[in-house]
Amino acid sequence: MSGSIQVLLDFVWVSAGLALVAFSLGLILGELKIVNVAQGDLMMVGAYCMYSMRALPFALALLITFIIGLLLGLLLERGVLRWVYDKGFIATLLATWGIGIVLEQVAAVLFTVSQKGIDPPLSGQIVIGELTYPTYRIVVICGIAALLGALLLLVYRTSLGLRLRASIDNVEMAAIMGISPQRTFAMVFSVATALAVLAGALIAPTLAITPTLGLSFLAPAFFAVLVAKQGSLAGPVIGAVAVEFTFTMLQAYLNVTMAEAILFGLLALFIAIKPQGISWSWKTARRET
Amino acid sequence: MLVNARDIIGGYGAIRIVNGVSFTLEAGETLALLGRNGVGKTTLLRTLMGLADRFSGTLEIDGQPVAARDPRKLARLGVTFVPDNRGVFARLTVAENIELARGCAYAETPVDVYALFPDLATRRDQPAGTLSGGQQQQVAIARALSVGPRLLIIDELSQGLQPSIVQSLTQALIEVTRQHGLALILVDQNPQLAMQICTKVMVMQRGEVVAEGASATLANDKSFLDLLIV
Repeated sequence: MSGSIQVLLDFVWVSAGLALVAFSLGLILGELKIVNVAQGDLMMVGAYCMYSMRALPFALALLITFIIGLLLGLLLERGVLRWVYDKGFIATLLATWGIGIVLEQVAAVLFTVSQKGIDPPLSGQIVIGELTYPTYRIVVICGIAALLGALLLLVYRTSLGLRLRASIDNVEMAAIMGISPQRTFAMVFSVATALAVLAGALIAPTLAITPTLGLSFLAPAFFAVLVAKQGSLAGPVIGAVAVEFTFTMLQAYLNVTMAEAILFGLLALFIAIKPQGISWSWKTARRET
Repeated sequence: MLVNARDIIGGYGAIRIVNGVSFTLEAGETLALLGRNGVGKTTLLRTLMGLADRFSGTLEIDGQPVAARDPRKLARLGVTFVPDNRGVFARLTVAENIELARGCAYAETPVDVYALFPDLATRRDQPAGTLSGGQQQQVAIARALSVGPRLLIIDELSQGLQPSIVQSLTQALIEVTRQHGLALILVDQNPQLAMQICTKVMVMQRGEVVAEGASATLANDKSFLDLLIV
């Protein structure tokens, strides 16, 4: 019994981090039509920010890291990406790849490639029956769930969110309505970058921090975005849970390498069969058939 | 003078399609822009709207100069556009399409769009992309009216629509332009329809204006109508 609760909690823990990264990726893909392969490296930036500020109170360091993320996003969008939007898909892919390499190398120069670590701000364990689980993870799970909930409300229930979804849907028509694509692009990339950085910062206490720590998150996050319907912002979150659920189930029977191989095989097959992804809203799904 | 376009030369990239078009439009005036396929009507509209390249020429709205490629400035000056592909926000519901326009409005609209298009009232919560072509055109026009514009530009009103819908859209446009003093520039493949809605008419050939005048007189002018025959 405690074993299965353990598995469930681990699954929720990994899903939460992945959901945040996938939401951020989905936001960038939806609005800017860019596949951001630097996403994992942005998480790495978050982890090193927390490492650098390990002497500060955790919450303060987290806040500063988030602000660094917003500024970094703005800098990357205004400094690099806006020059390649009209150069096509490959150009934007290479640009974000380049950004990722620069970030990794800068981290390697500043912090060397040896593993770093930080202590979680909450060291206690929560006892659930026979099972103990780190308090920090539980708090982070709740925090990410609340953050994602707030972001989805912002996107689907406010006028700012409506403008954002409109410009994701049809950027030219949004401009005709008076919505500035440049401003929306910069804002979206900045916020999405900050979310990826924040995800890295939050999971930093549970990881060995190295310049390449984000790589292992990149592939599952992409699949989470791809299994969701294009342009949907709630989709990647549910996609993350679905991908992680499949992975957890496979891991129960297989070793990690086999489980990953089969997971990615299944996802590749799924995307080949259903390139448009799954429509998560049953109402829309019914209307579209 | 609401619109003052002078010597507009426009197109895409290196390709010139509109070769020096000038015209003016007073507030509340309605202008039908006619011509055969490929004479540059759509490109002229897109150049005016800042969606195609304007190589030279000037555009003033209400005396204010508008730079090329600046659709947002036009939105701020109360100019809105219904493109030939309708441009509805497909994943947004009908209500959200309208709400967005109201949020971006130039002025409060005097038009109750759901009363104007009762069909839409029953489909408020449906994603606009799942509607039929005619319904999408109604959404596009309802959305454009919801920004409370001074000038509405429509590219292809009736294309691909069944006659009953065309009739209701025509009635709606006549009502709105006559009652609320909305200026209109309309491109349509059906000259009779366009001249029924608009009081002025302008004909293009090879990217230039070759004839213009009042709809009422030109509608019976044989040499004028010959210009429109394919």
